[in-house]
Amino acid sequence: MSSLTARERAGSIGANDRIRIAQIGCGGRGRQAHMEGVHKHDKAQNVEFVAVCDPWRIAREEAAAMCKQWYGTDVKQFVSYRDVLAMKDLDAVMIASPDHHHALQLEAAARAGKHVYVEKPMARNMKELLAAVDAVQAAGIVVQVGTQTRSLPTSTGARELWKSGLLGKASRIEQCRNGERPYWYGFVKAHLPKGKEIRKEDIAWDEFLMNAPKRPFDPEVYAGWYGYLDYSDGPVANLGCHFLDLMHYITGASYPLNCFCNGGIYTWKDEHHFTCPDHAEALWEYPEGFMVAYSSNFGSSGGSRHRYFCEKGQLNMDNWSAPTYSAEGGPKRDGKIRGVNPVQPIETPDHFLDWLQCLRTGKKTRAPIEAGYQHSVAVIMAAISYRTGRKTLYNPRKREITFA
Amino acid sequence: MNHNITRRDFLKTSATLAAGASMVGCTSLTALQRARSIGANDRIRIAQIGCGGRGIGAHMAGVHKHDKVQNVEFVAVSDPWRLAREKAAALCKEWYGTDVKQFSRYCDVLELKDVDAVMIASPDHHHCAHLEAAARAGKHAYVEKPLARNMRELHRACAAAEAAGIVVQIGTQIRSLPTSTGAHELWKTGLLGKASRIEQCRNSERPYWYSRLKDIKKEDMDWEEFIGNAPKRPFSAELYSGWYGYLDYTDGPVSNLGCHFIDLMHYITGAKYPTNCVCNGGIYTWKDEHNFTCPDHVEALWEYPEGFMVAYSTNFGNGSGNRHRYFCEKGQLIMDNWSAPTYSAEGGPKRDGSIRGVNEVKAIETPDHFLDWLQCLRSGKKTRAPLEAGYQHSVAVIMAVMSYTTGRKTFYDPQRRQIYTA
Repeated sequence: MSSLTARERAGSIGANDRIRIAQIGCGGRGRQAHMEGVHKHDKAQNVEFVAVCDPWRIAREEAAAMCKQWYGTDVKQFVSYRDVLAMKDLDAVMIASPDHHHALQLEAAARAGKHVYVEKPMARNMKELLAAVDAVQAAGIVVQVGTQTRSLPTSTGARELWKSGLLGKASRIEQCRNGERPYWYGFVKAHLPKGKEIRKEDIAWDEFLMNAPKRPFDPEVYAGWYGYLDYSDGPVANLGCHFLDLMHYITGASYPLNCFCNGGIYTWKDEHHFTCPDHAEALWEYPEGFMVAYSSNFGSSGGSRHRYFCEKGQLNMDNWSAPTYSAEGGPKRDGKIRGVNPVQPIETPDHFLDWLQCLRTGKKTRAPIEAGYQHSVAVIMAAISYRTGRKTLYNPRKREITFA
Repeated sequence: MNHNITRRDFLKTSATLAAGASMVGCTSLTALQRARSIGANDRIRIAQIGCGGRGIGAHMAGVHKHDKVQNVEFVAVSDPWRLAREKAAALCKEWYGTDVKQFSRYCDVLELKDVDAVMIASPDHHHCAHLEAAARAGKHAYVEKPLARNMRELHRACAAAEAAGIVVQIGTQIRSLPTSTGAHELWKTGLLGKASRIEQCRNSERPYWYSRLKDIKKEDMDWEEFIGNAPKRPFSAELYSGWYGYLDYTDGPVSNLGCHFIDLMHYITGAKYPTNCVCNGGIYTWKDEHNFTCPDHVEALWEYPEGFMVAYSTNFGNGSGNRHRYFCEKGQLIMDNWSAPTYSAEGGPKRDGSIRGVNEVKAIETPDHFLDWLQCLRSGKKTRAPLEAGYQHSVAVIMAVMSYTTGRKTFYDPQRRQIYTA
């Protein structure tokens, strides 16, 4: 990507220009969330997919077929994101590749002057994170980070409730997100529909591996990458980033002071040899004076919950589409909160629409690059602590993670 | 523990004990005495060391319930605070019509030749020193939890207790609830399958140390006796009455409350030692003129070699969110109320239809924790919470404290009986 530098600062998009988008990563998330999510708005917003890219032939052909149906056109199909970014008549890309590609592809897109919608978690290490964030700032592109829970109307409602101070100071914010099976089992070979087996000749294997350790073609690894530490950092990073991002959005907190993380594989040991923990918990201390705890246990689905424990009560996010609050447990409750109250929704555009609107207005998205930076710092701190057994510390001035 | 201490270890420890006897503060007790064996008709003579709420309200009252039937009697009381020991002595007067001996120093109690056993309800930083000294004096002991605050004093106390052959009951009395033995039996059946996570969240609206604060006059206090092995400080009524909130004398909620949870989990599952531990926390809510140093929110995560995570947390910034669960493959054991545990198939990925609905854990009658100790004093049998139990909960909580202090994951090596850090 070295030939494309900040020249191509993101092109400004005219009020009547048709926005041309390419999809990078055409798996379930790319097709059903990104493409469908934009398609809902494409006429009103005057946007169109013009290219699709995936190292697996079957996936990109399916994405191309969707475009054919929607627009009647034969979109360009690429194996490598590099070829997508070389397209001159392209305004923006949507990135739904495996976790280990996100930061690299975001950086490359920024350097190519393309606006970006990028999936979470945004980065897996500080080096790639800083390179991507700095490239985004230099290029001035519009970025929406794929933590779409921010765009639920009740999330902005919870943020306004928080600002009112009604709940008082928090002491602990936690999510326990448990299940009877790790989510990566839903993607393994055995679950692929007939006719969609992953064959070596259909895959650009090096393009999938990219910055991950070299290893021979293995359809299990490709289909089940969510379960392998070479490509993802497990539930704290992959699911916990939603919780962290929402907590940052609601409370205005930006970075943890420190983090401790523990976990392992206790229940799901089998022929797949997955390496991601099937039970992990991370504990972050925040400078605002509260503990943030995230855990996933895939040895039992019991015990799931999502709470903000505060001095004057609690915000109950067990169902994060329908949050409530009450005075329960607050040592300084003062009679102002009575009973269990629904958080008032505040209408906001959906996460895709918000991005499309910002592409045209140049305004800040609801989950801007700073949001991705913040959730990434927190999950990287957890991943390093998990690996090393050390408490990790963050220095926001130096943008550095160190050890206690 | 008896099983994994070698003779050489024992000799080494005994030598250390002889050389360092002054550590426990009782210089005259340099030689180890074997515990007196108690005859079937002998009256058991007990001294109370530590006459605070726990000493008087739990220990003395708990033994008094059985004193006629078991033929036991309190004969001496000890506390550095005059008012506490006088209150304890007054109770004895009421119960036995006698004027029991009163001491400010525990060492003086141990000098009494006709005392068979002591009950230790001193502040946390004294437990090990008091147990070790009691063992050296050949007195049987009932000792409060947490048993120890560091590995050095833990090893010394355990070696002394084993060498003296005393009967020890550790004050983790939840073991003696009939439903705890019921849960242990349920666990052994395998009905619940393998555990993946065992957790307790024990929260409340205020740290427990606040309710202890009271006015205490300097002239009523043997201050050095209270300080013991803790850093020297000038007299302070706040430090004495609020010691539960200061890290000089205790290690906060994971150690002081979490040890009950850990001990019960060891009892139910048969697990003994964690593989490793991380612990994080701080003071978030209760910052005031008392300058308490114990965390008001803290959580520890232990991995066990049996293949599960054990999590304990306390939050004093909000009183809700309490729970106590054993999450297993075929269901869960719900200990939210640990006097009335239940189990169900909820959440178990491998539930197989053998658990239906929510079921009460069957109670299995056991003597209460004090009675069990009294019976064992006479029979010489093993108590329900023997020395090993105290050793095991201590290892787990010391690992948590070290991790909290150092910011490093701690590991336990059961062969070497050592904790080391990542």
